[in-house]
Amino acid sequence: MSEQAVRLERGSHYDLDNLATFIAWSGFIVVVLIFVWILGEILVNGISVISWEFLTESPGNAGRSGGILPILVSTGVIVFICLAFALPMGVATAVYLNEYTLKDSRFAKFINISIDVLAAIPSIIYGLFGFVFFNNVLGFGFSLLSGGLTLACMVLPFVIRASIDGLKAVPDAYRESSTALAMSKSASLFYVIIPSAMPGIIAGFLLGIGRALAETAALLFTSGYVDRMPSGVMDSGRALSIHVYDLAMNVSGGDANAYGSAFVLIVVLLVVNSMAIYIGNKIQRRQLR
Amino acid sequence: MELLDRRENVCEMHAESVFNDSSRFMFCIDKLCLCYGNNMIIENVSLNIPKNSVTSIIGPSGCGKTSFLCCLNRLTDLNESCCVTGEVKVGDENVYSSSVNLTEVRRKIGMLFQKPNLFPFSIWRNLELPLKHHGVRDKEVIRLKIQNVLQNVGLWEEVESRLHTPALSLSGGQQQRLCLARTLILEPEVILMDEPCSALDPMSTKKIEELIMELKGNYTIVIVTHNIAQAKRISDHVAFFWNHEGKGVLVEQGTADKIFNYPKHELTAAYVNSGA
Amino acid sequence: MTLSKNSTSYPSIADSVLKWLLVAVGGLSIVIMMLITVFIFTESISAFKIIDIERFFFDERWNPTAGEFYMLPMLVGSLLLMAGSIAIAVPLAVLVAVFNNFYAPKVLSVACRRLVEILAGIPSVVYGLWGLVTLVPMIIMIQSPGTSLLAGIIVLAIMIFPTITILIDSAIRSLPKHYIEASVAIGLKRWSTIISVVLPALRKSIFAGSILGAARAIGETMAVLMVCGNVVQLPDSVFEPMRALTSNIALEMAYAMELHRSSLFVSALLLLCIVFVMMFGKEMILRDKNHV
Ligand SMILES: Nc1ncnc2c1ncn2[C@@H]1O[C@H](COP(=O)(O)OP(=O)(O)OP(=O)(O)O)[C@@H](O)[C@H]1O
Ligand SMILES: [Mg+2]
Repeated sequence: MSEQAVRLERGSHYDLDNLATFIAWSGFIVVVLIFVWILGEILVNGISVISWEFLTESPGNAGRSGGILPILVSTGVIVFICLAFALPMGVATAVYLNEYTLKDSRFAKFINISIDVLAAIPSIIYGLFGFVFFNNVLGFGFSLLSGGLTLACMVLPFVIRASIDGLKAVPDAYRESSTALAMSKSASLFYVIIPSAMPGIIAGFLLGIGRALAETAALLFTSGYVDRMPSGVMDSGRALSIHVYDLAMNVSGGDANAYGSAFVLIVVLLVVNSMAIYIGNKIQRRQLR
Repeated sequence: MELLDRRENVCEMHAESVFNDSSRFMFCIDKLCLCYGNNMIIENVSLNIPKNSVTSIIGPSGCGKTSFLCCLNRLTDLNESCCVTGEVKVGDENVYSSSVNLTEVRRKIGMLFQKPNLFPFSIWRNLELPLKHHGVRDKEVIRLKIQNVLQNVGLWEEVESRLHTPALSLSGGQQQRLCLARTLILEPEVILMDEPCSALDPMSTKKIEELIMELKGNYTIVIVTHNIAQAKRISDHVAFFWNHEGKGVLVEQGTADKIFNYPKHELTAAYVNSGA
Repeated sequence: MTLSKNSTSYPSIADSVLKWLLVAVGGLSIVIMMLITVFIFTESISAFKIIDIERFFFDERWNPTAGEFYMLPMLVGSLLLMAGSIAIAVPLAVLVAVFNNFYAPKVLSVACRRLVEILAGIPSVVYGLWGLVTLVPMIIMIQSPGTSLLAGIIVLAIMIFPTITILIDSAIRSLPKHYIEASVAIGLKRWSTIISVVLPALRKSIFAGSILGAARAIGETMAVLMVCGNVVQLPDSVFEPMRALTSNIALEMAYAMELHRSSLFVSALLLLCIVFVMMFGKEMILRDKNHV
């Protein structure tokens, strides 16, 4: 890790070198201050709104008063649907790419290109696609289901990549010994390789949750705006990020609750993402060894 | 090299005079060649490996010993660039024919690697997994087999109390013995060993050697080793490989006594005496 | 032995079923990619059948319900946002990455790395909220109306900064040690080493980071939607409000019908093309060995 970076001789009698040091430090401090400012403002303003009632009541008066319970439920359902599709698909694709295909297989190359393309597509286009395909063509309408499926398409490439990283970290010795023990390919996959690749798969899972939670644009026309408690997956429901957006933009006097909702969103994301980062770093370190 | 031109005569002589009864052989290997991509690594090896005895494969580094071993249970399949021609017969079955039941063949041929390569699970799970995969479901049978096999490799006392702790927390020597146990639990007929002691201390090496001596009545053991003294101690038969212009070739083979005491080929003589 | 994937092992039925299942699932990524492009294309084509392409650039106004399709201001707006945010974020990212590797004490550099990684996951709607509630009133103090190109550029720059920093930081860390050792050995000071050895070696990564950031900036919807004012016009100064292509889709899709709707797909197609051209250009340049 940073042992790799050679620390250069410190101290210098040249003015230019001192000036550069000064710039580097001040640039760093400015950047840190900006982010502390942004996060601090949201967290400080947000925490004053948070209470048990805020988390367990329905929003009232277009969200100005009341809590966010139905929104938390909708968000949970959307994220659940998203990962229920993206995780198995992602892991399966990763297994196929890493354990089955030859390096120069055309099909594998094509899949890889598709993954890159999918990762590059802006989220609003996913929203548009979901609106046309899931809402209209498949007839799901504005629903948690079509929101979740749209997000599944969106997070799929990230889940695949994380899972591939996890599989790459599995030593070849495991594949050799399971073959030498006369285990079939599928058995060695299910009992040895996938369990050993779990850290990567979990990182992909958490990364997927993080992405899904943070997404707003793709949900605008798929899961919709309705802020009451959803009665099922075919019902429309409002995700937390959309709630923040709506309160800030469309509801005058909604700022306080917008901060409160943003607070909840950030805290959940911080937890999920730090776990993903922690596991991801662990995998990298293992690969270096 | 002129020296090498004589090798075929030597080999053929042995093949005819010493090993002529095919039911005595576990493996009959005929004109085996192995390539990685366009590089030929093993050229034209013909060798018969007798049953219920220890056959050592010796030779300098990089002459294709590991690759040769991987041909015997078709572990070469794992490498996409690897292609093998020739015949490897186990009993009457050619391992490389398309109709062979590889699961059966691989179950019959256990393998022990240079580095212990246990799965990152508990000791128990490492032993249970192959058993379950091969259809042993009865809990009591599994327990007995595990105990039995751990006693065979002399590990039972050491791990009895920690069967459910991670296998990777064992010492290197213990891990290698556990690998042997994992191989033995499938009741193979053959055990292939690729430098099983090279990562171990002398005490662990001694233990493994003792185990090999115990096992050899019931198993056919093919062992690759760089340690000539070890080969002298444990082997009944010896095959000597040499790296000839980048290709691995079989120079000489025969009983341990013949190879070590009356080598027919100058290269063999030089090699076996260099380590002594 | 390095292991391959394609085992020709004796296949059991379970094995072959599993293999074909995996092929099918692996193919799904291709299907999704195809579906997205096909939908965007077909919907756009129905617009092109009726509206001449020039009209997107030379009509009077953007008023699709009245048959006017002046999309140019939004395209220009999106490009301005992208260029502005890159111009701010990339130098800052390079600075912080360099600081991290050559100036920061070890504890600080590890902490900084974690912080940046965390920041990369903050949702854009949160940055938008901050921009709307805090940044826009500050800009109003300089010039009304506050919701403006400038606000968009600042928020986007803050948003894409972590992504670019992570990329450059890991590029610095993977530089061969001897690069730096050699320059220290010939007596260069830290600053000169960075300028003359480290930065040139990083050219490709900085470029790749910029493209990545640019793609995120031009594809971003929420933050831009919240702070830019969304007036369809070619902004005369950074203090004027403007509307991006993405915001346009988000604002009008819900009620757009027929030709209006198709014209929104045209803007999506435009967006897609810009992103792909950038990605493709990046691949080409990164692949070109002479261009180190
Ligand atoms: N996966 C592979 N791809 C290409 N070449 C390989 C591969 N594995 C081994 N080789 C080459 O095959 C030759 C023989 O390798 P092998 O591992 O069989 O030698 P060895 O006799 O076991 O050596 P050692 O005693 O050092 O273990 C070597 O030249 C090696 O470079
Ligand atoms: Mg070897």
